[in-house]
Amino acid sequence: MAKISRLSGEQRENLVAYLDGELDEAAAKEIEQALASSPVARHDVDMLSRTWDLLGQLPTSPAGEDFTSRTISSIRAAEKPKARVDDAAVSRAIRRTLGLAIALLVLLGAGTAGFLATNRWVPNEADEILNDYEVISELDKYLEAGDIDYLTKLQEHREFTEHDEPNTP
Amino acid sequence: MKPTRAEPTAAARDPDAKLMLRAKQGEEAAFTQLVNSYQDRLVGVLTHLVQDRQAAEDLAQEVFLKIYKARHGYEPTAKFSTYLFRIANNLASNRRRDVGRKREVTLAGSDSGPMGARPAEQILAETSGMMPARQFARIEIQAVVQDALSTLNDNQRMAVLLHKFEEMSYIDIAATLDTTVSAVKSLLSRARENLRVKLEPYVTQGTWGSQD
Repeated sequence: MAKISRLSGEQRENLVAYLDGELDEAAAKEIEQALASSPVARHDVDMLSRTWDLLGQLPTSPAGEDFTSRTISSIRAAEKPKARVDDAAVSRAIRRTLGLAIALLVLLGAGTAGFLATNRWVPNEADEILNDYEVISELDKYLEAGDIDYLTKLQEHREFTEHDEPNTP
Repeated sequence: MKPTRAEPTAAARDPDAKLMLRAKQGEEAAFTQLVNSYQDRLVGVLTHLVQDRQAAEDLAQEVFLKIYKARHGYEPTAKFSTYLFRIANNLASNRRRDVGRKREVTLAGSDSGPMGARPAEQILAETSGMMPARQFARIEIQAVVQDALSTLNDNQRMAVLLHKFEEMSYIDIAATLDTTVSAVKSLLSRARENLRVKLEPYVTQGTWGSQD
């Protein structure tokens, strides 16, 4: 860095742009004047130029022979199947949703039918109790009465009949 | 300093941009022509950038695939080469980030010591006994230049590669790297100064770099 200390910071930055032909006329002229008066700056420009040329020694790396065909194939593969996959995916999703909906409906129907069937035709313990409730609630009286003949005789007496009528089962 | 933006009219006149517009209209042959035209240039630049030939080819394929997928939105606002290398630079940056993350996790590969990749001098020392002097000299200078190139930061390296191998102007490099012409000027100035410092001993002591 000390070698180009005679150049200003801007001039140092402009050296490369000068070599690259990227300076406008006025700036290029300024660099040329600086180079004319500074052997150090000339040395640096020379070194910048020669070291830059060394990049040309880097090996070239062309693409493989089948690069274009492989690339186009991969593009086709990425593009076309995507459309097919999308269509197929949509129809698969529709079929799956329909299937699920149908299965749910069948399940719901079967459940309802089962409930109704068991509720209507298969009596459970609670139903039997409810059906016999009136008898059960008066069971003590029936047990006390003993048999039907006693009750028939009891009914023949008016005084019992009138008072007991509301409680007669 | 030259103007900072490429004019749209110049971009529209670019024959490769016209090919891309044809590809946009669904003409696959036009895109095939573009791939054919740019494959070597792209793989070459990417190989120097990522320093891995196979990774460079994979990346180049990815670049073309991305361009093709985005063809419907393509507008020729810049030269096609600028557009292509901008995408290449973005993808290469993403890859470098991914590789960097992986390196953080998988430490100490078989060829890397605690200081990272082996220096060019070490590789050269191992291979020097196996080849004629002239061939060795060529491989040595290639390794030294590659080593010097690898010391540049990502943007400096890309700017150098685009300028050297694609002969891009500062305006086009600025458009590719999504920066200003002034920033490119600074980038290239610093990059070339770094290269000069690294390579000057080889130029002054050896026969390399003498005027061809």
